[in-house]
Amino acid sequence: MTDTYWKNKNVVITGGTSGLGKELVMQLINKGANILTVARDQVKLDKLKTEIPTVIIVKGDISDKDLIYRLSGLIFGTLGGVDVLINNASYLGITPLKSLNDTECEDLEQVLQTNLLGPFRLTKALMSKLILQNSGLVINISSDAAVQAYPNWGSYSVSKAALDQLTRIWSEELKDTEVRFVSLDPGDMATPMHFDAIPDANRDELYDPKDVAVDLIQFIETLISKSARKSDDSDNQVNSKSDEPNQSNYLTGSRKVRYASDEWRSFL
Amino acid sequence: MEEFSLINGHPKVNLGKKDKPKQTQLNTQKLLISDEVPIAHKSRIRDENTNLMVFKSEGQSFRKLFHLPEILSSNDLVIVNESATLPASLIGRNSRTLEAVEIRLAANIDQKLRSFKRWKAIIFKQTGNENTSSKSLELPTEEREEPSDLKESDIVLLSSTVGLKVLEIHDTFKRFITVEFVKVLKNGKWSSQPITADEVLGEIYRSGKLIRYSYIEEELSLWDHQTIFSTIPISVEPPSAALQLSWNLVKRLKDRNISVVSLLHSAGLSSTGSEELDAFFPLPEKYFISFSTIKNILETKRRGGKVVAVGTTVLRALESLFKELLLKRAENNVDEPMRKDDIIILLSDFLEQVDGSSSSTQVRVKLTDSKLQGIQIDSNGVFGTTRIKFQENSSFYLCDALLTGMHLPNSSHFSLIAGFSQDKDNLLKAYNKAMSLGYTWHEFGDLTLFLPK
Repeated sequence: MTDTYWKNKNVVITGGTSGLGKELVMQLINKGANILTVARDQVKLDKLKTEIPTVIIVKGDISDKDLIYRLSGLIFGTLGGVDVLINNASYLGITPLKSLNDTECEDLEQVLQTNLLGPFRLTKALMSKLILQNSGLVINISSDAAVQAYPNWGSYSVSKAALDQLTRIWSEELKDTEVRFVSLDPGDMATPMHFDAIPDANRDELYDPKDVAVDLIQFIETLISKSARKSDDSDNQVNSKSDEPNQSNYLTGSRKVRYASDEWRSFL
Repeated sequence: MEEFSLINGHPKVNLGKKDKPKQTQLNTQKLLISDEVPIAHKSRIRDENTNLMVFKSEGQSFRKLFHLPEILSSNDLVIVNESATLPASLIGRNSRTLEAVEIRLAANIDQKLRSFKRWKAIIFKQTGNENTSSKSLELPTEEREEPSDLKESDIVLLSSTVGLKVLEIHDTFKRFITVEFVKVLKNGKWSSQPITADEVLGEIYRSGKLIRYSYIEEELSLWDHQTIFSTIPISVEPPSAALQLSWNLVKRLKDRNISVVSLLHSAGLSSTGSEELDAFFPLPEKYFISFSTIKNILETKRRGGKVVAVGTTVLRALESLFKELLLKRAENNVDEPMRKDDIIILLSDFLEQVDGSSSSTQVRVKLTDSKLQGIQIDSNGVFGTTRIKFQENSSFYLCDALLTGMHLPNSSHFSLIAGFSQDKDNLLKAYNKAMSLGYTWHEFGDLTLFLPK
């Protein structure tokens, strides 16, 4: 039953031309979702479009304020609506990574633009539909750097911690609606971004983004089916208020749920 | 401060001398009343401190938008237009004459909600070279020239890959044209390869600018013309009555048990720079109303609540749908005058037949098939094109209240609100009072809530 969840669902994925984003695009297309993705590199976008002609591609940088209403206009104009938004596009900052002492303000600012303000603006622009239809899911891709203090990962860490908090507050503000928020840590993956950060990383110790995408999609399906079952049971009170959910039953390896809406947290 | 007054039964404006023409010329009107009407220049949005005149037959009060939840009643229904606004002013070059032109998309004429290909449009000559092109955008519309040489099937190139093909030029008004987005080839000729919605929208967003009248002096950004409800971009001018609404206000309405639901209506161009041509406006406009919204209206009517239209676009869509049902009623030889209950019967009959979800026991008005004259019905709702034009004596059936901006007394919008208010004389007096209280006009200006009954 959950497998059919994606059929004709309108899904927006930022940064869908490489790494986890691209895997999510390909796997969700196969499950019957309508997908629009935005990314910066026209060549990679064209390549994706050749591989998957049904995907709608938009060239743009999520950190660009001027992009947002153009992007939301294209999303609503082509897909008609939005059911799931995956804020996946991410920027590490200048590589090789630098300590905070050597980080320029402008570089931190740019990381926050991509990893925090971009998702904030896009989520806000799509909120019209999410609230009017009173349903929808916003998935923010986070990192263990949001909670661990790794030297030299300052800008990125700060941005992901802030993104987690954005997820948490938005969720709290909309808890009377059926709009759900979740922040997921996909674990360390063998993606171009990871090798930018750690050029000599051992590929064998890293997850294949393909497996991670399978896992994340399954996780979402589980939550959605539990949520559907729960609304059938009618008003079950949610009492789990822990911000550190036990996700072990649903995500494997080092993948973690950083934050999920109250109702969902109770399933974990 | 000059006053509005009635001359020969028509609203006219006592004109002041146009001694500062650069300041606030009003290109929408031949009458230059800009010196009299205070205009909100700043792109102010989502401001709950916006002035709100509440116009009732028993009198007026002057409040703030913040007070809307307490002015309305529990069980009322607020309906907004969820359309986003396109940057519909496009600069291009005629591939045959090489002349630079501006094309303002006026109204989409595709018979599908999310198709953006064919448009009624207005074309102007773009004076100066491309570097100074913004200059002529700032000229009042009525001072703009028409293209020196334009033929049907000319292509206006917008970029190296997309152009607008001129399908039709109006016999009398040469600036009034029908265009179609086409792919273009390297040689400037159009390609018969079909263009997709994302390519059309991509081009509009890439090369378009918001339609901005010359009374707005500042540059506008795309977000200045979006409301918090903006979804599908089918409007070329913003559904401005909702520009000041915030999510906080929506939440406070809901706390009062006042639902906020939406429909889609494509707000078209309001001014062409030609008074004669403007008389034909508004053009036919597309709309979509979901069954869920129609059900909300029916339930509201049943429990005696008011249907509150936010903006004249919402009013136009709702009354157009109802007009279709009235036509059906006449065809079914139900010709007694409309009573209040008849609205409920018509709506529930309609839902019963298209959706099977209503609970009326007896269907009085039969739809012969799922296709009414001016509307198409799909699994989610009703798509239609409205040609309705409101006069001062128009009847309104579905909408019980209207939240709208401050309108110029010689505009078609004013005829509409004069009709809706059912009391034009007092409306003009109330406008004078609003002016004396510093109310501002136009899309970023203040608001009126009409509660006629």
